[in-house]
Amino acid sequence: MILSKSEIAKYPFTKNAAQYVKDLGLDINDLSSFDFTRTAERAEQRIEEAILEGIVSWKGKSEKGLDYDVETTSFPIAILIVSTIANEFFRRRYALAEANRINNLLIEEKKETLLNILDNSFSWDVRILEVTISQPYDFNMYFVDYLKNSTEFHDYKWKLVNRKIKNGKVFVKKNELARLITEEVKKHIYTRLKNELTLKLPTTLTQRIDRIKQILEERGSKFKRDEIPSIVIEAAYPPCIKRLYNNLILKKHISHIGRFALTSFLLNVGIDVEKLIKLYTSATDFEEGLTRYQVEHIAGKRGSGIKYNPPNCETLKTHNLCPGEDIICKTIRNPIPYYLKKVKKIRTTKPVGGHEKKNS
Amino acid sequence: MKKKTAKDYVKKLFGEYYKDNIVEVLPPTSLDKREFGFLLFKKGIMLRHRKFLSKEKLHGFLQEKVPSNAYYSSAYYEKPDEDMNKKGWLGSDLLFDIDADHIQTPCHEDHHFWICKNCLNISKVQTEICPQCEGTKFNEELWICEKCLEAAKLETLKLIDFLISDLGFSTEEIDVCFSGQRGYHVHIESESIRNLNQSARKEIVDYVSGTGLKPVFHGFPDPETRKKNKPVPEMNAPGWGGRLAREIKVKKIRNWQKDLENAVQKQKASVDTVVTIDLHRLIRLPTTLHGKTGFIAAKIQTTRLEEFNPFTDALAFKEGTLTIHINESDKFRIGETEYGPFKHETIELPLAAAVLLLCKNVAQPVE
Ligand SMILES: [Zn+2]
Ligand SMILES: [Zn+2]
Repeated sequence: MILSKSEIAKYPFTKNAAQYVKDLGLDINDLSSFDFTRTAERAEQRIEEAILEGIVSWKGKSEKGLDYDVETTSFPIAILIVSTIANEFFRRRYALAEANRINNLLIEEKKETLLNILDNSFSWDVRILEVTISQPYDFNMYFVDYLKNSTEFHDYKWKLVNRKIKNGKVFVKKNELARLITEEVKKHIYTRLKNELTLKLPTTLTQRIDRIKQILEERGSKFKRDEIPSIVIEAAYPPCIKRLYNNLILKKHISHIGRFALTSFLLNVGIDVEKLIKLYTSATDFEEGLTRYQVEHIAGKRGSGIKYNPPNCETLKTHNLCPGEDIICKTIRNPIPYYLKKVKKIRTTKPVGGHEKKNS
Repeated sequence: MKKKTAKDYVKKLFGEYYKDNIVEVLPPTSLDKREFGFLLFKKGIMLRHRKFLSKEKLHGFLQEKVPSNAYYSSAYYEKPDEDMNKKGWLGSDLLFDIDADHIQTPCHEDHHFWICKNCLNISKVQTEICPQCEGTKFNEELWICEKCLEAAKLETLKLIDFLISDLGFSTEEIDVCFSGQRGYHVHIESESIRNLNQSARKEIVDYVSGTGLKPVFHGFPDPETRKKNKPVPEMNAPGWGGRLAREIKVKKIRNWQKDLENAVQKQKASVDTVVTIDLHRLIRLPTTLHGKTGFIAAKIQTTRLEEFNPFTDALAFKEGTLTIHINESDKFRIGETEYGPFKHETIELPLAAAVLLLCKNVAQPVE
């Protein structure tokens, strides 16, 4: 089923929309061929909305004479601008803001329209169900398609183990399917933003890009990440790490993944490699050579060169490494953010934040 | 001349097996996309990153090198013979490992023993110094146990029910294998699951093992805000809802939370979480020999798993006898016969029984 003109404007990530833009004569590789002042204006606006409000607007409801063509064509131009600026934070912010717009629209749509949009984009195996008193679900979908995005959500209701499943089909409600589509759209847009373009942009666009860069800089500082404190604060370790740490000191057995979680956590909060190796070899019967190899590997000094983060809470739970959640645990999904939050809490309740680990 | 050790003898027998029975060794699908790994008898050397372009090449390798254990990757690679980061991952089969070590059978603590590397003395308890020779290096070993294997089979059957009834796989997509020693492997080869990432595979593991399950999402009373007499799911409800409904006796409920937790424990399939999540896992190549038992890692038809008996159906050495000197051994069964326990005995045993003890390094051939 082909989408309508207004649907194309709402959902410009679909195949129909891409074809429509092409048919209008807008060629991304030759922007000079298209008069796109209004399109470029709207593209800039989309981006500004994303930076300042975190959501791109849809005026199709309030504005009677909304120009659908401008809406549709401004999307690929916005993508072009964002990917040219090539800033990781900005990419994520923009993809999220477009996804937020789309989620609001999707939950208002009829079931058939959702299916149409999927046929026109990601081709998931989804079927419409008749809702009755005993059957509250709107759709069922192939569990593999479900898992493509459900794993991004924190709430227990999204875990496969908490879903009704039959013969490979997961039962979902309309707002849930909308959420899953939104997540896929976010990834799809993000991927497009990552694919670097080496185009020569017309000067009208370069001026706009400079303006956007400026807005971005002004806003940038506000989004700065919490920083890891320069001293290691043991009191701020999450329960899982505390337990692993104690087991290490007490020479109790720690599984391979437990050792990985502990090592990557300690390295991330700032304990240096040498200290950590000492800690391991004095507390256990590990051979120094092997321990050094493993620790340096996790620190990113060997092999792939990637510095590892500790596994997420979910994974720790799967491997029985979570001793039970406390209040902070409920707000995070990885031991590192826990540490940052706890550090903040300690610092606001006590005048002195902690002590430096002794160099023993 | 040097005396023939148990290892030399087993290698010779494995070599004869691969010479006479090579047609029994089935290569995996997409052979040229798989990485192979082999453990050699010689000093336990591990060969990795091997690739074979044809069944004949793989067979030739087994016959020539006679490895003690053969593995292949559940993953498909562009270049299976390159280093890990240059292989070019193309996808992985979905893999489950059910190992008796992960199942709390009443006897599972009793199977450990330690062999002194120096004098081969066997100890049932872990010690730091060998009582016989004062050596300090030991190999930890495990007895193969009928009861534990039966328990592993039960877990495998539960797993297969999850895979078919809940996740919708067909019996043709599911391959079940005896691991050759203490459990079973389940491989799913299907285009649809090949590209699942680690978090998706973790969700599947959590599903079959009931990890993170909250009964309230399946229509059971919420232990915190529960209303009495709330209806529970029908026994024939799909998925976990029905599983839990069949397990609990509503009228006898004393404590919803505890009873439901117990129901989850009974219904879940115990699988090794790490194996399923690992996208680059090497797993025993079905239909090859296991170096710790001399058994075949036999392929089993999904529908015939229930009647499968590793002690009769996975034997490689069915004919002939061998005289061995046994240092020490628990009771064990091969075919219809039970053997042992033995202590410092020289005895002629059917070949399969003798090979098992040689593989376990608790006996030496007598010539
Ligand atoms: Zn000894
Ligand atoms: Zn046992």
